[in-house]
Amino acid sequence: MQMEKVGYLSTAAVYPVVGNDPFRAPGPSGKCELVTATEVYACADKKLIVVQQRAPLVRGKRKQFVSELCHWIQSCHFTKVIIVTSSYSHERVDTQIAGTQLRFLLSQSLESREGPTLRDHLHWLELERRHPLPGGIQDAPARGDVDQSEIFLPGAGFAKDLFEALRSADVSAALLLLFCSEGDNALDAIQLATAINTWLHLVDLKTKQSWRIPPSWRLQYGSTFEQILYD
Amino acid sequence: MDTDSIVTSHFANTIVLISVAAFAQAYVLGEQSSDLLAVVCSGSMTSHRNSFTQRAPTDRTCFIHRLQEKQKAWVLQCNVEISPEQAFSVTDQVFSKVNTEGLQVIVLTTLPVSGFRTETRHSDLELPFLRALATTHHEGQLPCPLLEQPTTIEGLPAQVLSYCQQHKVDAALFACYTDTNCPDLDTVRAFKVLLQIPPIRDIVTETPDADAQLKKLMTWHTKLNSLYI
Repeated sequence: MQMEKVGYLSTAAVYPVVGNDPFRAPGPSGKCELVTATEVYACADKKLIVVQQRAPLVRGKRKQFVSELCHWIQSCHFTKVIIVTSSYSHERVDTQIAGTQLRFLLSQSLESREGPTLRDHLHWLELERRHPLPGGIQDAPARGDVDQSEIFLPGAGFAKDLFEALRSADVSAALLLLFCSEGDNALDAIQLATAINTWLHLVDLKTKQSWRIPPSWRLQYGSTFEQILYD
Repeated sequence: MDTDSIVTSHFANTIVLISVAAFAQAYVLGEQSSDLLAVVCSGSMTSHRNSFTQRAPTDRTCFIHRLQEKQKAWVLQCNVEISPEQAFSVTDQVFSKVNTEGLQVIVLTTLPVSGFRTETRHSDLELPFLRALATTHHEGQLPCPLLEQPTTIEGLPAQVLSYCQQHKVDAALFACYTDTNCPDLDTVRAFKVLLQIPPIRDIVTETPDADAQLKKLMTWHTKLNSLYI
């Protein structure tokens, strides 16, 4: 799928970062295709807008960023908004360890439209509500006990805040997440992309065979090490 | 930033942001007369109190100079740490005083080679070396290779370049990767290739004793660093 860069989110809430085109290796033309911290891509054919955030939020500015983003989303009148994120796998309860690691949440306005598709057709699981902390030994839930209390998304950044803000604003929003471990998450990203594609039918994977990995995913663990250190 | 001190001069057509103070002093400002337009006060560290009175070359300052002979050229000489959190605010305030139409921006910075990601072993790299990034609206050839993925640049230089990209300004960033803690003579000299390209070429007046001036400045900085004496 060819997406075109159409804009930027200019905000004080995201740390600045710049680099060369992450999707293509530098060509012989030597032309720089600058990327910045938060960019907006569009695919007119699929009527799809993608916002990519490449740097973390500045401490203390999460509320401001969520508010700015929510305001922009409302002004654009999108049919539906999908927040894609991950959550710490070591924070799972026992019942979440086996089986699919994909979970979803839907806002009330999207539930009637997409709920049956995700649950019955795709057989996805809704994120289990639970207490964020055991609350001490006495109040600790029994092993595997899932409490219907609140959305618990450790390691998901501002995803939960944004989802709740959109839900409150009656925007049709979905939150899609995968339980992930720290480290190289390339395979997790492919799994999430495949899941989104199964839902939205964006790319014909039967024809294209597989996803293309961008060159910027090289060197996940840093530069080549000095072998002499271990001789 | 002390905004009171900025005259409403919306006619800069060149901004050179240099976080390598010695290069700015020896080669760009040199013997040229310049007006001190503004001082950037981040206030993040109490030891970095900035004021117009701190004029010694080794003072931790961040000044905006306007060249008297080339009134449309501003030089932002930054010898103080500006935290990434403050980069947005500083950039926004500096550019709020500038008409971005026809503007050219050059950013110079030094970075530790440990942050440069490459398949080549670091011991095989010839240090120091320059890498460049440019906005889509940058015209002209770059005198060094482009920064390769997946290496990225952060902080104030990144924010300035991001601003220029978003506002369709012709801008280029030159980063010198080095393995020294403080920029040494070789690191600063690596930027000399930029003296041959516009817009720096157009604003710099050749001074025969620039190299000698640089050596003197570097000696002052070295004397302050007494760790290895």
